[in-house]
Amino acid sequence: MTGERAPSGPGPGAGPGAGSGAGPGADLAAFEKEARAFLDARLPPRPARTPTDRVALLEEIDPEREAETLRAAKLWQAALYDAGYAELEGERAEAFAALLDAYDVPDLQPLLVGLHIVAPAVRTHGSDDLKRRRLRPLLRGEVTACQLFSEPDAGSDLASVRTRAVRDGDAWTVTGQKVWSSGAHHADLGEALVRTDPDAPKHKGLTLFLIDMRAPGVEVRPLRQMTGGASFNEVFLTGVRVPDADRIGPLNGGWKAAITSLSSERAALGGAVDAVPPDLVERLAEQARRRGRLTPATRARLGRLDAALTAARLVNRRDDLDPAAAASVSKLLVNRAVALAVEAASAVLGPALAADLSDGGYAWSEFLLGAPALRIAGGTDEIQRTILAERHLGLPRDPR
Amino acid sequence: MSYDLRDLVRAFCADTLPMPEVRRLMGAEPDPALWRRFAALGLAAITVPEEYGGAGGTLADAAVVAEELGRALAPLPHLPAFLAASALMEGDEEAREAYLPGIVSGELAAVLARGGVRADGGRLTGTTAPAPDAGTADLFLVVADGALHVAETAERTPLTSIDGTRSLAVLTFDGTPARRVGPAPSPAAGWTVLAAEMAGGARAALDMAVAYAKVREQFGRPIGANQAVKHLCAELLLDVEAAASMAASAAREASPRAGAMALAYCGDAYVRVATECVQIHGGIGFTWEHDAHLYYKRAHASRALLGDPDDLYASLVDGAPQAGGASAEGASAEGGAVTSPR
Repeated sequence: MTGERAPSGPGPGAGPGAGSGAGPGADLAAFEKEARAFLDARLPPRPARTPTDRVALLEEIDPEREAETLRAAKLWQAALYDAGYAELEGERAEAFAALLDAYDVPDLQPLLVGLHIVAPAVRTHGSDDLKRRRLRPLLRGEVTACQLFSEPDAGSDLASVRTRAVRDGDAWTVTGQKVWSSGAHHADLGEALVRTDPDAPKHKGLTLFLIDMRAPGVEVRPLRQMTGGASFNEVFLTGVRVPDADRIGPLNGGWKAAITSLSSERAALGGAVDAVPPDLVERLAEQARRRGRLTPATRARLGRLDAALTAARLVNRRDDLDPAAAASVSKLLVNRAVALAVEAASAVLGPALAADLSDGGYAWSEFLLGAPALRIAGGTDEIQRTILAERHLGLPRDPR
Repeated sequence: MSYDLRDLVRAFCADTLPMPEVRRLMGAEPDPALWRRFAALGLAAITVPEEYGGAGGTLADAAVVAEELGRALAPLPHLPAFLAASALMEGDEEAREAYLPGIVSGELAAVLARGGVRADGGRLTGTTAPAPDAGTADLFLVVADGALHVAETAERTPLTSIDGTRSLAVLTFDGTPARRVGPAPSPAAGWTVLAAEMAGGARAALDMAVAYAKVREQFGRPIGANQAVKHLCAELLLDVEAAASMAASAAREASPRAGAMALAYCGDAYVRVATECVQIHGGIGFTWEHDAHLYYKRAHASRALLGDPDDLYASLVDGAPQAGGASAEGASAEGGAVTSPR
């Protein structure tokens, strides 16, 4: 993750393997050895893949198993955090991710908003008191979090949010309606962008708070998605009392703090190329082979897909690009690749993509149905293009 | 090394090959004196080891040089020099000693040609595929029947090309004596270097388009204020950054697979960016006096030069029902066809 790292960060030191070995190569080898021992002691090997395995872009948790998934995620994140593997960077992060491929790793999906979206804002903008109370539980996966940003009338134009917070002694009373809150139904904390000064220009009257999702006045209603699943929600806030101590950053300085979360989210979604199944191309090629459809044209199509995925991965790793630009570029490249994957799956599977012919093809329908979400979530592709054009290429700004 | 190297090539191009000079040289064979000046900087076939007079650079260095030359549309025979030297480095010692120093110094115009030629009893017969800057070459490396051959004569037939910044010719042999000097060379290095050259060209075309979108005003504001234009520029930025990443990665990996992927990707990216560069310029972009068409032509000609993207892409995916029976690594590109580069 590209999270901003405070010098006083709570993570345990420099992590495993630090300082050992002669050179960088030896250092990495020592790190890998320790990491493998750590994983061997805790995780079973990954079961062999089968053609009917899920091919999902959105990790939608089976509601029947949600409590179990959440418990496993929390235990695993705590183990990673305590051993110093939770916030690896650079070649160690890559090495660790590569090692994980051999194991049956618990799904961290329920914790990702807290880890990659909320925690970076708390770390960068929170008071020392807030960081002391909230950061470690977030990073260790003890608590789960959701975003309370978008509203029915504030989507891409996020700064127009209307949920109000009114001062009441050393607390605030918050009232309004939020939407598209992934994981709000199991979240302990909500990161809420609310209006604290209705008379200021729209970007200047906003403040960011952490809201206790169990507080009176918080009501969560699931929204059913086009996939059929329900991993995001509407959240109604009615006179919810929020202590001023749970404010992230300065009063009326919420826009800047929110941008930290949005940038981290974009970086995480750019990293969504890692959420695309790593063997996507091989699996489609295998499907094509079994169906006698691995023609030169199909191979060209699959090779093009392979290149598109590779490009997204490579750009995500560039260190000579401004990180914000790299995140937007990578997100858009992921979506180009996903569009090619949908077309390739359609060409390879034919009717088996749309109807369950009991031949292993229908597993890809989940991929197909998840694809549109990636172009919308975390700032639409159109917003990403605007960001790149204005901030990276220096083209004139849109009216705001 | 690479940043100094980039500056060095960029400075050479800025001093020696500003666009009016590129235009003056267009449509001709490469200028030998200019090429020797470039070579004197140690930049020709930069990967040749020092024992043969070379700079001993890496493939990544060669990619940096090519990227900058591509950006400037430099009409220099850097590609044939690199292709020929790379092929010779896989060949026998005698040939390396005989030819590499001349290629590196710019004195010897060597070319590598593939396709369409048979080797039989020490003689070559047939006509090659189009080879860059072969019209004035005086040493002819030919891949034929799974081996690399050297001939000192050939009938050179220059081709008319849409791209005036790189000359092309076919070579015809008619029982021409030739010596076998090594195995058929891997195409990977050449693919990677051309990919980098195209990535550099794409970046130049994007820079040109964005600069124009900022200053050209219609309806009382810059055309780049319209989302139709600014979002298009952002899409082209994706092509440019992805192409740069692919070329750099292929140069680090130096594998046929990475080279094939980068060549295909960068070819498509360059054509797209150069095409939209003309479009963003509107009518002025379609004029001879504007430089946009030079990139458009270079992009199309370069993409077609060493392999078709669809063939290259198809080669990335095992085609046979039982994988593993595909052709050996690098045994490819004869007759222009590309086979599995795994």
